[in-house]
Amino acid sequence: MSSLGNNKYGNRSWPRSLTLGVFLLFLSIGVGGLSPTPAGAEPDLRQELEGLKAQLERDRTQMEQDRQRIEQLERQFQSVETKSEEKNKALEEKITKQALDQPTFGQYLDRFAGEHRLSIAGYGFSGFDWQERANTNTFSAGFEPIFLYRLSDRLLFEGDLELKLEDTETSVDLEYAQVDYIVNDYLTVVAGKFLLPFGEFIERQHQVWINKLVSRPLPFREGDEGGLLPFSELGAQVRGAIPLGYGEGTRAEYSLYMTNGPRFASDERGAFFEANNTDQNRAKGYGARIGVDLLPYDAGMGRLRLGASTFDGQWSSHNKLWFTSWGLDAVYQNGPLALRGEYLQTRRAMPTSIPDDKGEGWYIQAAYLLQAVPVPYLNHTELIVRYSGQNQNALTADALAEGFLRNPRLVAFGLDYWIAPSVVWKLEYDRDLPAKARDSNALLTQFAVGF
Amino acid sequence: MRKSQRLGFGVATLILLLTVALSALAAESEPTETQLFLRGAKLWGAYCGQCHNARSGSEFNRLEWDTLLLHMRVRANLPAADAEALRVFLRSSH
Repeated sequence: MSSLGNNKYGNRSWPRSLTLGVFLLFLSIGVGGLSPTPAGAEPDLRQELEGLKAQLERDRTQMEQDRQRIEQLERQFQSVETKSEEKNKALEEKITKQALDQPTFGQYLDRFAGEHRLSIAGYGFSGFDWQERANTNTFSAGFEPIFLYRLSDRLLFEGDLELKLEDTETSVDLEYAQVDYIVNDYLTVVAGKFLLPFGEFIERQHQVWINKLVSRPLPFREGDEGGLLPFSELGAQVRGAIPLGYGEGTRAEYSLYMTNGPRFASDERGAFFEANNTDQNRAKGYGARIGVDLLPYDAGMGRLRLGASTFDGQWSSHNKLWFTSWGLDAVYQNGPLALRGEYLQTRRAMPTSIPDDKGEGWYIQAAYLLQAVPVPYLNHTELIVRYSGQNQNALTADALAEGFLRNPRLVAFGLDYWIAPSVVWKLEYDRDLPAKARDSNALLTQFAVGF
Repeated sequence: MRKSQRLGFGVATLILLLTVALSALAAESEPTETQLFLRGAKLWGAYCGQCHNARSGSEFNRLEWDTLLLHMRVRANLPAADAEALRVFLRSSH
């Protein structure tokens, strides 16, 4: 205090000090009232702050859930929108289709009459034959157009004209003329003149651009050439295929038919078949073939088809005498290798006291395409060998005079050059090895075109 | 009627009934064009090559293939689905 009393305000310093103290007191009280953190309020504020933070976190979580829900709803909406568009489109298409499916009278007629598509396929050949036993040394040619007329996707007419050169004349033969109607996936009805569904060769191998050799297997020579079966028959058949279901390409196939029946050139034993265009008796011929493709193509084991056939019917116009036959066939193919073979037996009942006319025939053939040989031209070359034989217990006197044999055997070696898949030049050497007759040779060549 | 004839008619009737039954059971699901094409490409060599060299799709036009496949379906007894796959494949060359 003395120090205060000694300055220029020393005499009146206490009231000023009092005033200043009061002022400071109020100031401290006032400022103290404005203090943010009074010492006693800090825990409450922290709790409040924590509460606010927790609330903020809950709000954020809720917002995230809301956002996800919105996105989900948007996706659902888009899905519904897409489905709705698809349904609308399908409905429009259905309405349009229904509108188009209601044909006008003209369209109805067109649909009934079909699409009128005519195609011409077929094949032709030219060749040269030298045969020691038959004493032939001649050029040859032939032409076989096939007319295919598709009336609709279910209805087809097909006719095959066989134009042949014979001695001094040109002959025309109707090899087949048939109407095919596809009833459903498993059933086709065929009516008219058709190739006999017996084995593989007659229906599927005799065409010159398909047959790998110039000659035919002995039992499948046609007509008066000495074979054991007719090539064509007049009648009706049902045929089709059923997938076996255990692999792609496996199937069972069938053909059932009724025809005018077999007819022979004479009642003599060993007589050749001839066309039975007008049924000579009231009896009909019956036949069937069943085949199975056993190996699925994706098994990598090749393709194997086995078949069994029969053709039977009364042949006599006077007596109830039957011709019966049965056969087995097999085809195996794996890449460039193709094996095929057939066996058949025939029996023609003869009148009492005359022995039955029996026949038996077979062939086995192997072919190998040298496609893997990386040499030009050679990779289009195919080598073929075939052994065929036939046994007959009787031949007509005319046939014997013409040089036909009761037990012919033929080994044929062939070399094919494939210019295109359906264009081939064939060269064949035959060694004739008959039982009870001298051997002979033949050299045949042919240029065949399938179109 | 002879026994063999009766047997023949019996077998024929059985096959007819079988085909009708299978028709009724046939699946209606239709494969797409691409599926048919791929299947036809596989079947082309397998089926055609069993009897003769497989012909190229470019040898005939689309309408000719329609007719030729119908012919081959009958001649070779091709199953309907396989014939359709071959048709789609061979037509695709044009």
